[in-house]
Amino acid sequence: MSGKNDLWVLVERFERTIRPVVFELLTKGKELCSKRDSKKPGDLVAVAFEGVTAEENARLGSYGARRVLQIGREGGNAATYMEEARLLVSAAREYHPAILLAGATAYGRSVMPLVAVELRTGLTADCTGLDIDPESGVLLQTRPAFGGNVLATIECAGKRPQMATVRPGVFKKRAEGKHAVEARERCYRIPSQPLFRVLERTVEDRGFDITGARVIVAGGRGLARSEGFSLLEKLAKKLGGVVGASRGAVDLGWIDAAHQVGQTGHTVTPALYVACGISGAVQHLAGMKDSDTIVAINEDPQAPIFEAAEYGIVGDLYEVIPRIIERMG
Amino acid sequence: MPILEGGVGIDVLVCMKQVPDTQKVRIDPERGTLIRKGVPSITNPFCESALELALGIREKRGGTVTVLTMGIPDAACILKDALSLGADRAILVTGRDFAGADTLATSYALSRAVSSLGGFDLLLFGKQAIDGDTAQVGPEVAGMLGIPVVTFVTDIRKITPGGIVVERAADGCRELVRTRFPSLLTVVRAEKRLRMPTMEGILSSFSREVETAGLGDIGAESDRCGLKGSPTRVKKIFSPSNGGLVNFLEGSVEEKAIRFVELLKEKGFVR
Repeated sequence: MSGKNDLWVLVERFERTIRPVVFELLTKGKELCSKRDSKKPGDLVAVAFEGVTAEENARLGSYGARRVLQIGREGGNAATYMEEARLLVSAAREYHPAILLAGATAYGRSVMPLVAVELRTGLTADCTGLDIDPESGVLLQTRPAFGGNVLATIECAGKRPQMATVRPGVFKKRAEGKHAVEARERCYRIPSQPLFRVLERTVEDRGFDITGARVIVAGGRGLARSEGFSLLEKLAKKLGGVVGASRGAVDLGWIDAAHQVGQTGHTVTPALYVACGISGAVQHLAGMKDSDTIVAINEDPQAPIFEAAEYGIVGDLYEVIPRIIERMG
Repeated sequence: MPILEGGVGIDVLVCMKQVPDTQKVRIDPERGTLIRKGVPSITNPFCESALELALGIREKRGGTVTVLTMGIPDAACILKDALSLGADRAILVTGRDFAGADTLATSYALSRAVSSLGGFDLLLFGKQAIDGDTAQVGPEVAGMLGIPVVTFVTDIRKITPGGIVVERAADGCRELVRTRFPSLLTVVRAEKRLRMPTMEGILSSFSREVETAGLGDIGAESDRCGLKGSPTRVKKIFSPSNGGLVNFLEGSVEEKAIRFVELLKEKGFVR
């Protein structure tokens, strides 16, 4: 049956669709499981609240889940994250997972603290790195602190489960084949009185989503004027990408916050990140440093962005970029 | 604009945190450590939004606003500021027992403090503090107290005798949520900025003290507070660095552009 060394990944949905972060966590979870002590094997388990379809089951399996555990409420549905937290607590008390991971979405960051308190265990927020300590087998949870100025590695050695929320978009997801996995269903009794009620719900038009882009051309204060973004837009279009921005440029009102990359914006991992006129404050680097190829264009050869970049161009972006566009034909 | 119904005063507790201004924190490049020296301490901006919301509720509905924090003695400053803005009562939970607390131990101590003060309709927290950025303490306090928590609240729509209707924005959705009293709300940065203190407010705050409370005052078990009560430990702190060496593209502007386009072709971004 279920070993006490299992690693659980919470399945979160958005408008009925499983969020990408779930597959990112499963991919990472598979790697973590392979690093753990072979004498204490544990399975990677996807834990879901709503009816998981056969197609979804196979998809979760393809990302590494060995089992899907569906938990529900006796005689009804769980309507809020508070009720879902209670169900998750009941399931954790029955199966004693060693690790419990969820996306650091608003949902994950609402449900996980409630679970941690009930189980009296530690919870690390918004992690950007996870590993297993080769000696102790403990989960090493790395996260930015002090506004991204430093990274801290945190562990929860004495309590179980070890719990973390993980920033979406940080880990890559990788599927291997499609195969159905064991599905198990459990129902738990929780108090019937609703804690709060959602009266109305509107999905905002997301319009622009930077997190899935393969190429990002980003601008900062070094653009010196808002019109610089139309130049970046041209380059981005040529590359089949989108425009990103540093906090500085967003704060100046040059571009919408939906484009913001960094600690207080989005975390992105595109194949190509071109940073134009971005000095490279740690808060910005925190959001883009895991991009495959980083190119920086900046007038100041001492700019910290060059420490994160693989390729650098020192020069006036208003001279360089038009020539690049021209050369691309 | 919040629509308020009924006539009973609402007793609100605002939980606040003193934080270093993270925009001004720098890293020692040699040692990779934080330079905290000379970095000013401020009220966490999300807590300011929570306080403004609380003061607004009192203006329209009557009742009281109590402010609470846990921290070093210097954290009394942020409570003093809140008193000058018109908070009715201010409590600082402080002492060596509380040092080194992670979110679980912090939430335990705060929940004990809230219970010992007693009798609030609403607890307001900032959605997160800008130094830790965990967003966990609000929900964890609610969990400890066994009361509902509504996270990421942007506004209060309506207050009725038994409860409150709030708007929350989370994960690309806007929701209207009704919850009963007592409830805990975590507040995102509202459009309405925290008011400025009036001269009258500042003067009247001189005569009012920030109360301090220790372990015994809030009836907390020392084993569940501070470092002892914290299941998580910071194993190491390091500065984010890729350590990669940058390849500068050399030559004239024209040559740099040509080299860059070649690079794009090599990597398959341009055909």
